[in-house]
Amino acid sequence: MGKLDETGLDMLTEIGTIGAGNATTSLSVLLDSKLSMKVPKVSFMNLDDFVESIGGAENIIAGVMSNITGDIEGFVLFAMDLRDARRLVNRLCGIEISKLDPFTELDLSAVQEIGNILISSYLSSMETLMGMKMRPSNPMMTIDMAGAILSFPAVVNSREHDDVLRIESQFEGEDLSIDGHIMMISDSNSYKIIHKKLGL
Amino acid sequence: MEAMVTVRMADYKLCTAPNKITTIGLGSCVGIVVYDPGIKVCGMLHAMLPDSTRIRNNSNRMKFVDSGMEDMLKELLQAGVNKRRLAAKLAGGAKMFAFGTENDITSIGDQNVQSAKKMLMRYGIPLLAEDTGKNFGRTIIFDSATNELEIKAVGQPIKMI
Repeated sequence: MGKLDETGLDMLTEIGTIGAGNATTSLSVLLDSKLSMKVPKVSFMNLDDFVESIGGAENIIAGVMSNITGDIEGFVLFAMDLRDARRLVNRLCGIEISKLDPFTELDLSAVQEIGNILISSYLSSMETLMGMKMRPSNPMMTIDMAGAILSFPAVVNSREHDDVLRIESQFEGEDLSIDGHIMMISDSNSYKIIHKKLGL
Repeated sequence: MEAMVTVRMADYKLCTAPNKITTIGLGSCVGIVVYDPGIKVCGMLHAMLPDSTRIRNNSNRMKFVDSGMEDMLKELLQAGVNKRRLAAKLAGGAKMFAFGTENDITSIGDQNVQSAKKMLMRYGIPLLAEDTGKNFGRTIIFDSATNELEIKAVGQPIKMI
């Protein structure tokens, strides 16, 4: 299992804060609504704990994920509960907030677009901060069991490592009841690279 | 009183009737059930990657279709199953995301399914049913008493194979 020292933990928490801070600011502008962010949680996790990490493996979530290549490798995932995703789309499209209609194609592309905006601003602030190249693939959206979504980066990661480096940021709406997760999923190799790059 | 045995990721377990065995949220991973309908003993493997010989980090044998099946079969035989009676059912191996990047990560699901079939063929175990591929996750439950595999997917009716 990878190890996090005190400086490493501080460093990644800071990176997560800045990345997610920028991302939630963009979302906040888009929704014209205040969002507040919790302090990111940074940890190395084993695969089982990781797939259980958003309300259990069978919890149904909407997830937008992008594969990162470049100086470090991994994934960025924007995920939220289905009900929260519905409220987010309602707010964005001017629909009554409490309506819980099934998602239309248009709603789904709205979720995808929100994910796209969040992931890009998350990554670009990280790139600037660390002076590293992190190229995102086209973000893909899916609604499925958390286990099925999270197992994908875990599987890719598991070819080299048996644990996952997770930087998890959470935000919630102040006047709107939504709760979202933005997480960066990577490995101990990338951790070493970040460590070196920042000269710690 | 019947119980439910839960198989986690990169894990296998055995189960005897009247108990049931399950694994949750198979995405690109595969769930392989090998059972002896005679003595009603089965094993379920939740494997993540197709081939342990192509990966350096291969000490966890249950992570792979090939080494995981080898170990599970050994344990099934120790539990007294009759090799000639064994049959198999297979689920999972979805393509959850299609990122359009050059590497082969998006086809891992398909590679897992192919590897499972190859291994079953090698051991001479007939594959009686499968629900594989596509782009959604699956939770599977095998009933050792009836040999039926129940498949649950989001927004779809329950399927029995």
